[in-house]
Amino acid sequence: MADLNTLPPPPFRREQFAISLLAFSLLFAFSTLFGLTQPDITFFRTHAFAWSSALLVTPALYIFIRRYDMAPLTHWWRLFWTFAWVMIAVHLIWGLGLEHDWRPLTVFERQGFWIAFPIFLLQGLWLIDIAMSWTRFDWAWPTGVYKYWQGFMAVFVFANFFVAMVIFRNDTESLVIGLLQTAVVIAAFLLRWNEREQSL
Amino acid sequence: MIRKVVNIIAIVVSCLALVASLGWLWLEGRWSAWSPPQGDVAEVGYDAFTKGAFGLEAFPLKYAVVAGRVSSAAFTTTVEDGRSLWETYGFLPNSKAAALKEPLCESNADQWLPYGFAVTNYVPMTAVQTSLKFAGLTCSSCHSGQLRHADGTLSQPISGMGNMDLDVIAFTDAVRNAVMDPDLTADKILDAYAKVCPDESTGLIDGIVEKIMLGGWLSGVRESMGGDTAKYGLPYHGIQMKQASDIPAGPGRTRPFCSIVRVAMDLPGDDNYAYSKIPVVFEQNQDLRPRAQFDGSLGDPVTRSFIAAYASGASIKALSKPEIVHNIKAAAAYTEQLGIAIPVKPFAAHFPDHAPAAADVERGLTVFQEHCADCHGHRPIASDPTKVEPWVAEGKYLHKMEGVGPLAPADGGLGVDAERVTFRYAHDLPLAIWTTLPGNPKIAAVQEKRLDKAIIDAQDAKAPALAYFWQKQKEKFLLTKRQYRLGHPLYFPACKEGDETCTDESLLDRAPPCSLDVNADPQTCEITAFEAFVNNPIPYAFLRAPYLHNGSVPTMAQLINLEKRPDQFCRGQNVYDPEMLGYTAPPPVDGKCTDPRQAFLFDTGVRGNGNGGHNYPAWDPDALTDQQRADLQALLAYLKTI
Ligand code: HEC
Ligand code: HEC
Repeated sequence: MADLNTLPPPPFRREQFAISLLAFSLLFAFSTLFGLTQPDITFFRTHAFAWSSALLVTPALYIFIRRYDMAPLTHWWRLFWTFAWVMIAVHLIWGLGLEHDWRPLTVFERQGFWIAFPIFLLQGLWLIDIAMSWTRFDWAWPTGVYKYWQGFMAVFVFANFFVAMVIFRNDTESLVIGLLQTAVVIAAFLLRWNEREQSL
Repeated sequence: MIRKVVNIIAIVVSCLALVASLGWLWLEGRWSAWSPPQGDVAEVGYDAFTKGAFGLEAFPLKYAVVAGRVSSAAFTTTVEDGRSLWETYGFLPNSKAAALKEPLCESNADQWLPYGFAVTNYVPMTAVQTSLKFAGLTCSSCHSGQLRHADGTLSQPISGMGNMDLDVIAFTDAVRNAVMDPDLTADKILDAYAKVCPDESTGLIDGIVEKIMLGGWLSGVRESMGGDTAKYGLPYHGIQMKQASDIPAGPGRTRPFCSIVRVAMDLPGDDNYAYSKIPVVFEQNQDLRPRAQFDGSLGDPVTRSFIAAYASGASIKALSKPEIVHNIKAAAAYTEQLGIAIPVKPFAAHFPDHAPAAADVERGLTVFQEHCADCHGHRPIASDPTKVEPWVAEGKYLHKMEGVGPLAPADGGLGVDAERVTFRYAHDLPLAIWTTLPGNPKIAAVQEKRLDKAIIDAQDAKAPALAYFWQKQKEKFLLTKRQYRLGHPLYFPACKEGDETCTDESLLDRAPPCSLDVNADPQTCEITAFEAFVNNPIPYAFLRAPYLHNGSVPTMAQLINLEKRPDQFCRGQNVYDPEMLGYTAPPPVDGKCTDPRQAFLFDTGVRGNGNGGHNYPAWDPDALTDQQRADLQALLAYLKTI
């Protein structure tokens, strides 16, 4: 087995950055500015940031499912994965700061431990994952524990979005985006499975 | 090559989008920067009461400058008689306006905007703050008045007195008319403004934002008012705005329940005949006045203040902004002390020539003790007539409710016009208002349960449509609950700061529906809807004219049966009569009020305008004995001193 740390990183193309940044910025601008037309601007923004994060994480999940353990991850994955985290952090800042007066305990009081806890856990674990993806040489070809970690993170992130958007479905927008994301994930699995079949 | 161009475009667009949104957020922070003012209640409270934003923004300030020009058709009533737009609707003039030489512009608005207008930067309804300045109503627009002397001079504005000139409903209709005008555009407003105030300049960014927001405001308000015509009808215009047959409230009165049924329940208010005089708001302290509103429906002073703003059209969102919350609380605290720690000029200070003789006052107090004090408590006579003694809140029936309609005691009860308390949906209102503001999670859970109970109760009462109504209210509640996760900052009942004994559980006993007993003693329910009027102290009685909740009795002499109560009279800018303690309200000639300044015909035969009842002492003004007449004259003298 080749020493993975010596494999070259996947090729980086500038449009990967340009396009993912564009997606992030447009969603951010939409969430911020379209809020002005809404009856409750903070409420809208908090939600729109969450929807945006769900939209940004979807391509990352797709790529991850298609490639995990079969081919090296790409910069597309890493960039969308990162921007999605930034957006969910913005969501958290809005939700915590403007709707909960910066008092995280009140989130627990209101939502109960089992709903509030994963939200904060997600924020932390996902950040660790991103930090590793930008610092480890083997981010694109993980092995051993790191590989399982990445797999776990993808499941954990998706599960969080799924529960929040499809199970709780507080509004139509959430449900639609949640279902879209789920459909993309299922499609990715089907394609992955198909690919496997053919390569066998 | 193409790839490179696409990349560059994508990055440039991204940067622009980020700069625009981050820049906007930064500006928002700047526009909404606010820190709580420091000072005592007299000062901070006064500012909140007279200049504070309450989410009642009427229109942009620049539009206020040019409204008379660009929207003259909408504002003209035809009875101007040389008065300014503002004065025609009864707003109190700005005392600095006469001396102002420069044109009236945004920068000197504090010198010409009528007394009791706030300059704010909240966009109506959404309460987003931008660089676009608005002129908005405050508590003082309604709750500050002036006394008009026979020689035409006006007293200084009196904080806490009802503005008896104010035609607030007509003004609202004029504004609706103006903004629904298809010819009115943002450019038209700004062009007209630039002509009036050519020297004013707005910064580049602020200017752009202002223009966009002005256009946005206009289209938004037009859409919402246009869309609301199903609920509100088309506004009246021209002389209709001053005619009782079209706008029955007239000067000094509003239809608060018509509005609140609309805003809290989303039901039409047109069949509502509850006309309320704008009351004085002195001595709101709960020791003296545990419950307020004419029907004693509200306990906590902050809630009184909140309901006032909410019924006048402030959105829940606006009412959650820290500055507005501060203003609501500071204004409430101000009314609690106004007349007590914060002095209000008594009658003798306004009318030194009419100060009553000490002997009459003394005799009057005994008459008052005999006929009135059981219900109203009393004020001891002050040695210095320009001061008042503290009100004594003692009386057999003080703070109790006097029933009307079905609740009236067998002896006929108070007998005043009952429309104020018997209107449709009155009994569903407390729960609807209470659940408008979601409480903290614990209280919100109870609010939800009570809404569920209302649905079940409606089904049990064989009123399925009412069950549907409560279901809709519940959906609305669940949405607002998500918007105010920790509870709306003004939810009630709430524990007072520093009150250690208060718990959420103890609060809930005070939440509706919590009392079926009209005279529970003490009545702790935070919001009630009894078919009754409350017996409260009547401090500064001379400033309460025209009397009774519907303003149907012009003078005190008429109220106490010293003179006959008129069936019809003309209202508008009436002169104050210090002898009879009230307004000189001339009778109509051939059924018409011809004086353009008193154009509103108050007909006590019209539904909601009844002037009967409160027949104390129950003497016939046309057949008074000499003894009775002397007693009543003495009583009148005493009433001048309280
Ligand atoms: C549009 C005019 C209007 C505005 C603005 C307004 N009020 Fe009122 N207010 C009324 C009317 C009318 C009533 C009487 C309601 C009733 O009982 O029928 C009232 C009643 C009250 C009462 C109860 C008085 C009593 O003794 O029963 C208080 C206190 C009060 N308002 C305070 C305020 C405060 C504080 C503000 C500013 C936040 C305010 N109001 C703004 C019209 C207004
Ligand atoms: C049975 C109780 C009761 C008695 C007795 C009584 N009042 Fe009243 N009074 C009330 C109630 C209740 C109201 C409010 C009625 C309304 O607003 O329509 C009121 C209203 C008033 C008002 C008008 C307040 C305003 O803001 O318009 C005045 C003034 C007044 N009373 C004076 C007197 C005088 C003077 C006497 C004695 C001659 C007297 N009252 C006797 C219960 C009473």
